[in-house]
Amino acid sequence: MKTYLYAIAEIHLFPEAALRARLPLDYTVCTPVKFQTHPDDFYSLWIVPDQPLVPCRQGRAKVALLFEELASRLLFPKERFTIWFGDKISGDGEIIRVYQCDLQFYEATFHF
Amino acid sequence: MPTGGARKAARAAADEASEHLGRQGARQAARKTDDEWVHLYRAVSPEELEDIMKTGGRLRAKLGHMEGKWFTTTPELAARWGKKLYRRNPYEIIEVGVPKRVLDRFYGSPRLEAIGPAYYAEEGLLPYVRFLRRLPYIPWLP
Repeated sequence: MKTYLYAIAEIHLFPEAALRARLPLDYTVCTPVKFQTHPDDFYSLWIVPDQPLVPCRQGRAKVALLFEELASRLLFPKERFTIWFGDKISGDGEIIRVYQCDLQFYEATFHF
Repeated sequence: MPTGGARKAARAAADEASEHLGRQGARQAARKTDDEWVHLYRAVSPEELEDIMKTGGRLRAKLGHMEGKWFTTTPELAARWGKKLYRRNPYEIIEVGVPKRVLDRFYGSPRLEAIGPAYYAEEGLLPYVRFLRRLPYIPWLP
């Protein structure tokens, strides 16, 4: 059976995030991020907050790659990333732990 | 032979004509710039399409979502993102037009997902995005 990867990440939004998204972030977004190990490209990341995310405070979220086939390359513990809402770096994050899940969980969790 | 007064009047008329031509040229140049439209594509949910139709072709940020929208340059790329975003749920691809001078103010990512270009219009730029049509097809993706 095919499995999917997602991760728990620490997310830290910058005050500038308020210029691009309605805060607190208590809804699912799919937004470009840049990973520390792949700084030349943007990748769309689902961010599903476990609790409402507010600027200048650490919060946790479930994250997954929109193109899930790239997940094994990009999601691993301690990998850091910057979050871009449009043209501005609006926060950063770090992968804490990576999990495997089935399609049912993946589709139920990462969607608008 | 023109007198001093007539020369003055002729010069004034010539100046006015020249100014008129200049204004006309500037208007034409402005129209030419305005005419440079770029076509972009976006995968949308049926709800978003309904909202666009309801508002007479306006794209607007939805409460509880990002305050802007992403677009790409071909229907095929829009379909690739649409397939990922909506999975087995229905989606449509819309074509929009954006004046080139406005597109320059969009945020562009040359290779989002390492697959292709994407442009982000923040909320303030969305009124400049003109809805053109819903594509009657969704490109087939292998």
